[in-house]
Amino acid sequence: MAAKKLNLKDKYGLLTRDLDWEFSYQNRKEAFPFEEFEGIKITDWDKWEDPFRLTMDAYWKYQSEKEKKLYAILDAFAQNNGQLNVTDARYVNAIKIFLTAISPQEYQAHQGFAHIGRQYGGVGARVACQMQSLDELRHVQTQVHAMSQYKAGFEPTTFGL
Amino acid sequence: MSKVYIALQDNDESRYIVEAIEEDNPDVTVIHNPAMIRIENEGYLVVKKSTVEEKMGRDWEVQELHLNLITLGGNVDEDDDQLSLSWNA
Repeated sequence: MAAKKLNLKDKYGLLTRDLDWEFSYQNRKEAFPFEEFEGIKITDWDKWEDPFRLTMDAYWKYQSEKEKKLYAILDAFAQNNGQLNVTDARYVNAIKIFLTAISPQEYQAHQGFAHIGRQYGGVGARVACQMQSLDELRHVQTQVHAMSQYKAGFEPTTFGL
Repeated sequence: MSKVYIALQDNDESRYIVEAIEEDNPDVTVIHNPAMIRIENEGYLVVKKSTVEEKMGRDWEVQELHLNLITLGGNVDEDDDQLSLSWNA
């Protein structure tokens, strides 16, 4: 008989709420100093659930599958010298704007979510921030990987700027 | 009332998901953009596991939606059987 599969709501509970613990040697208020910053009041963290009920196992499973699709495209582009044939100058200019206007903000979002994830006392929101933080970092990485093909034949550090 | 929306990559999987959404939500507007299909509806929209499985002819987990998902708008509620989008009236 096949092993019984946990339903999504139970799995979400086990992989969020169930990962929290009581501190035995540290004051909780000192561990989460920003939680009451400037009079912020959280009455019940447990009332918040991630509407997607996303958990780490599912995140890795689906994102790795998604990245396989992306990297297949990047490989095909690289093998066929796409930087010389497929795209034209306008695309390279779009890349320059993207790399300076978007990618750094994705990295800042990664750091920001890592920070608030650390500071949230509620484990549901904390786990959600962890995944959001990873996702933003993944965005930067895939963008840099996609653009990195342009180091072939273009000024490597400045894209010819 | 505001519109909820979901945008999917235009590929062989999404086509079946779009068919399922159209069947379960007869009033939706389907907009075909380059490489993207955007589906809008007034107030509410649901993606049902059973309908998508019927269209695809294979097992399908609701979380697989993430593979083809570009963006969405509306309050999400997801469990093993469906994902719904809604705006609180």
